[in-house]
Amino acid sequence: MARFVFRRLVSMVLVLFAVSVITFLIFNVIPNGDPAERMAGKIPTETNIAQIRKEWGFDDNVFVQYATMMRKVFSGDLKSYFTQLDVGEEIARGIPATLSLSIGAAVMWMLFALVLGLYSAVKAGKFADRLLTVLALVGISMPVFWIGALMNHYLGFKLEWFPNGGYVGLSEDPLGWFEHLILPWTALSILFIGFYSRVLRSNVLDTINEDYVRTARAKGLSERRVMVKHVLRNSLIPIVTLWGLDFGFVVGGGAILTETVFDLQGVGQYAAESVKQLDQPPVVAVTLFGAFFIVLLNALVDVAYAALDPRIRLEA
Amino acid sequence: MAAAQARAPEAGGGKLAAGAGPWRLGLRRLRRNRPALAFGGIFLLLVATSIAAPLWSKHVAHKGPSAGKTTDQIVIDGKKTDVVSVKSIPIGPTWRGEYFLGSDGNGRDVMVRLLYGGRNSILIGVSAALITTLLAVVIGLVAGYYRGWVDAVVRIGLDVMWSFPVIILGVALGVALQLGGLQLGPVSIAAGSKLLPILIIAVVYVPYMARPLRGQVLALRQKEFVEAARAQGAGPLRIMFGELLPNLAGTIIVFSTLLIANAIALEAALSFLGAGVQPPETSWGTLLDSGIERLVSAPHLTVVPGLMLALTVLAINVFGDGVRDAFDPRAKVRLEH
Repeated sequence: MARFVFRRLVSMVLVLFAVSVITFLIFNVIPNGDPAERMAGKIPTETNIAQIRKEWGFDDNVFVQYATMMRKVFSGDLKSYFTQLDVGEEIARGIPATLSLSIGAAVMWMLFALVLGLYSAVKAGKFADRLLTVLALVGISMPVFWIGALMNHYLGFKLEWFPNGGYVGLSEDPLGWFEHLILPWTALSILFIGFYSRVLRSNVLDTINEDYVRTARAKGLSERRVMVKHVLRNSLIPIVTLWGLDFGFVVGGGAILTETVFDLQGVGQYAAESVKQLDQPPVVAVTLFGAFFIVLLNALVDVAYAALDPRIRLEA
Repeated sequence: MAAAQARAPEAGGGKLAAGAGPWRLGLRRLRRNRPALAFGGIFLLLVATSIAAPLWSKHVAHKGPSAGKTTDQIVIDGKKTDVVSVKSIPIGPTWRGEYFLGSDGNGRDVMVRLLYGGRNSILIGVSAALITTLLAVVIGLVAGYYRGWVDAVVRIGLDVMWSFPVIILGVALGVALQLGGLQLGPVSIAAGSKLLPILIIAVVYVPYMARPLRGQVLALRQKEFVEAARAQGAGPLRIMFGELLPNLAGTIIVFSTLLIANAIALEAALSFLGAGVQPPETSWGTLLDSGIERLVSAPHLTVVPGLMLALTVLAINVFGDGVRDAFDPRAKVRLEH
């Protein structure tokens, strides 16, 4: 087991290294204009540009530039090319909003998917099941930024039931925090609720036909007990796996659209704004931040699986 | 519903001969799935209306997708009305030939732009899905067949791509490429070309399809029919594309159908973040992007393209579900945006 975890850690580090190199190259190989020229302002002079190049190290060769950037990432003094703000501080400022959004949404979509998926499976083939299937498909098909923008406009701006975008810190004002996040949580959850409830429904229907479920019924257990202890428990394993992977995906940049639409000022929105300005340092840093969560959750899921199933340990 | 339908036809095979191949069985199951067929029809209808965009533009709206001034006027109930009011609020749907779905902030006809935008959205979605499928099939076959170091290299590459935050990667590539275009040896793509979003979306989705295909190839190549082919003197190419590929067909069809829906959705997301289709071209994503900016004064600019986008993605998803139940009922296909 220790060996498996160690190998997983090594591959995590290698993958993150590759991600950093590729992100760095996207901005260095693709001809997208000289950052020094853009940084020099509206009326650039030759000496001005040359000085900026020297100061920021744009004259160095690619390897040195990459090394410099990574050193700055780890020592925490990476600066944006355009706002000159400290990238680490900006990301740290966005983390509470991003985590609040992701954790809340993950809890919400899991709860709703459990209830709806189980109900749908119990009523399989009946009207309620068909209706839920249709709703799930509709939910999966709606663009998150569209439904988010409409919710924000109609429920927030027009009806004033909810605040119209923005983020309030949990420690400053717990109630305001909750109010500001209800709409973003819902918008982000819809897609996952639709998806998870359908996966759970089909898992439950598969499990219900297993022999051990028939045995449980035959020995006289109550229907409720059979469903919860025998069926649901075994149907949950794939869902929990997905949950881990999707949580990493959402924290690591998957919430970028939701954050932008609701103006939550999270890490994703920071990424979106930096990309638009072709600001390399924040983009590299945010991509690494996102990749870290994705890789971490992937590894955690793998390790959890290996702990449960010895075959996986041996294969890898 | 889906699972029940997938099981029923197998149980009651009916008149079909015992030796009927998987293709005939699959098509038969698909034909019986009315909702899936209906939504497949809706998708074809949406494609047809997009193709017919110039007809509507020329004969009904009398306006091109980029034509229009804020000072334009139309006659409604005998009165001349500004298409964009003095307070710069565009009119909503008129439900008549001209400005059927209203005007945008520049006095352009929303219906015409919606039809032309649909052309790009569907074109990009379908082309990207095709390219992803092609790449993923080749990668999956080669990695699964050769195993060893080839497989190791492919696996690391896919792992790295898998670990990228998809949207951030797409947006970073999109913005960087849209500024300077792409020059790779003899290949050069101009900035602003529709090929850029197509390629970006295609590449981003490769690991989602290549990974499961590779797994299937690994299992298939142990089977007797591969051994038999090799004993007959078949080379690697013949085994990969002649023997293994047909056995992957079910998975490939299912994946590529659902990929179209995901690619259309990702194009919209990229365009919304300014990294997809570039003006003066339009897509449902760019229409939504400019619409959301004017949500307060002209909600129809957000509602209309979003509905079209959702309807298209829904149609493909329902049809794709039917295809999966028919051809690969045990598959747990999963894609995400």
